[in-house]
Amino acid sequence: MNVFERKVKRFMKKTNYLIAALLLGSFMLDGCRKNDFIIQEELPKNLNELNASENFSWTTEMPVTIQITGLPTIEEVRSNLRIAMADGSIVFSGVHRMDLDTTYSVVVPSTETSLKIMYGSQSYDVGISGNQAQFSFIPE
Amino acid sequence: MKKIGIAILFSGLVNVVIGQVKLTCESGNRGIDIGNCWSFGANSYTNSNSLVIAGQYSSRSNQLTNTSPTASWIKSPWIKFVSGNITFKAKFDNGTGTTRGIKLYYIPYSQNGSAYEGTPVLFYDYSFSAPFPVSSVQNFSVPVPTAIIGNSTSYKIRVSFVGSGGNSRIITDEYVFPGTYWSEPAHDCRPRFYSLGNNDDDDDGVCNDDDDYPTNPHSTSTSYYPSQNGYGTLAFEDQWPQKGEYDLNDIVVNYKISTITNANNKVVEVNAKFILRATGAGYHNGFGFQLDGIAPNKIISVSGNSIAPGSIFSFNSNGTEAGQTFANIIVFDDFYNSMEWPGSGIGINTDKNAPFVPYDTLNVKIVFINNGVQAAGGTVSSSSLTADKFNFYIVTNQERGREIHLADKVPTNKANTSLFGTEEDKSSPGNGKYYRTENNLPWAINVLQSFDYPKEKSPINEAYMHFIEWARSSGTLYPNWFSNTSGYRDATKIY
Repeated sequence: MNVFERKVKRFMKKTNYLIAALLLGSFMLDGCRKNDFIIQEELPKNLNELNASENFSWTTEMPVTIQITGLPTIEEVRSNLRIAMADGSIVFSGVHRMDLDTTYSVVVPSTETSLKIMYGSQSYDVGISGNQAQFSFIPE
Repeated sequence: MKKIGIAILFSGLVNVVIGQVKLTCESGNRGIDIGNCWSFGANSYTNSNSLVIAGQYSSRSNQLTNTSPTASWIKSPWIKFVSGNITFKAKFDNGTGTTRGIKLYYIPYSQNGSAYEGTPVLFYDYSFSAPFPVSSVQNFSVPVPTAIIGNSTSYKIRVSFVGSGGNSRIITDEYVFPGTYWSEPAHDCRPRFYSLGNNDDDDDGVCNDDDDYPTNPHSTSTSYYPSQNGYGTLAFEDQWPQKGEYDLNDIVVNYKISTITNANNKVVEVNAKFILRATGAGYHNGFGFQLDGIAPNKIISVSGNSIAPGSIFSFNSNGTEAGQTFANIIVFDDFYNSMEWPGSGIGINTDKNAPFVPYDTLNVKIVFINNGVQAAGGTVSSSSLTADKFNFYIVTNQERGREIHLADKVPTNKANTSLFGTEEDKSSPGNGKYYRTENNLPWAINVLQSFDYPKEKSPINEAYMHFIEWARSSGTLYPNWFSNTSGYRDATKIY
């Protein structure tokens, strides 16, 4: 391969890269335009165009069911069980027997991701997943 | 004084009979025993047939190659000891090792000690003689030291396992301690009455530290909706069954519901605080709520609401609305009776060009049990009065039957049901669909936080940029659409 052929080959290689880059770029830009167009087209301009779900409650609340696993205690232990939001603001308080397996239902803002469970002098953080939270009095 | 529960025998588990505290390992889950205030240092449970001493499970130590008494041990809960013998059984998994021994310590309470423990005192020291028992079980019976018998305070016992050489582990089981269980699993396993004031002064079965009302035997706990430190906001449109302007400011009320219950989780009292903020209506609207599923005769009295003489509402002697199947509490019969029109603008606090009218607050008290005496209809469990049972509504333009509720909340007996399905309302009572338009828009929203409502004639979707996305996604997108986040709101359209 002479010098000229090598130069031509190098030039072709660069050109191929350039074309590939341009094609990729145009696909990406095209993709962006399409997405923008779809979002603009789908978003209702006003409330008359809005079709909400018949199951939507129109509140910012989230019902959460907390499953409590009891500890088989030597003697009956009763105390206030308090359920609070992550910032410590209480939503539920009630007398609870430590050995009982039970569930409690509370309502919290839908932005909450965890709850505090307080019992006696103990406090535990539990995560919310799919409107459910689980807590066990039995240590790991 | 706090009642000490009658000791209960749990067959096969860690247990107590009167005068005895036992560890049999039969829970099979060391966590259960730890929860009951036993503690373990390098000891686990085994159910290996060749190792178990009695029942299904025994405790097994690590390899006893440490002469320190804090390397491998089992520690009892706090116990008030009586005279008698501490007994347990032991054997080894193999016979290797130079020395093997057991040491018993009693541990006094110390307010500042780790796990509230003072300095351990050795009172029994035993060395096994070779050959160590492997196939046979050795029984131990050690007198309780006189120093801890009949004392007003409680003690723990630490059973330490020591040794050197070899790799044998000790298997132990069937611990019996003469005395009364005196630990508090709900209080970091401290001894009962660990501090002055943690008694049960009102004798309701809940100690002072955990009782929201430590000196009131009739009240124990308080639950809150939406929360102890926050307020929710109810915002209504009042043109139903027409859709109206959708500025959702015809009635704007903040609320906080406090539900007081007793030691049996029966509702004693509901204190509902309402802050009247705005009415963008020409109508004279009332506001109240139904306690779904709660009969009116479960209530002793209602007070603190705002009802003018000659009101369109009529009431039972206990203050609930007459003629209703479920208890209805009318908070105010006319917004304009509580807050006065400032003389200009539409309504109150919806027009920035009109003077601001200070908010009015109503504290409505609903009594279910008065000094331990229940209502004629009986008591209400806290589980029957959860947040979803508070069914808020407005009554528009002094027309009793024209109720507007949150979406899918049931109307009261007084609602004019002939209005369902008229104009833009597409309620379908047979399908449980109420107060929704054809495309499922409501006439009211419930924001669990305090929120800044739109000013007059500003539709909520123009005041809040992401309201539509929130609604269209059924609350999944932009759950904080009402927040004061950059790009979320048009301040010119908010009051």
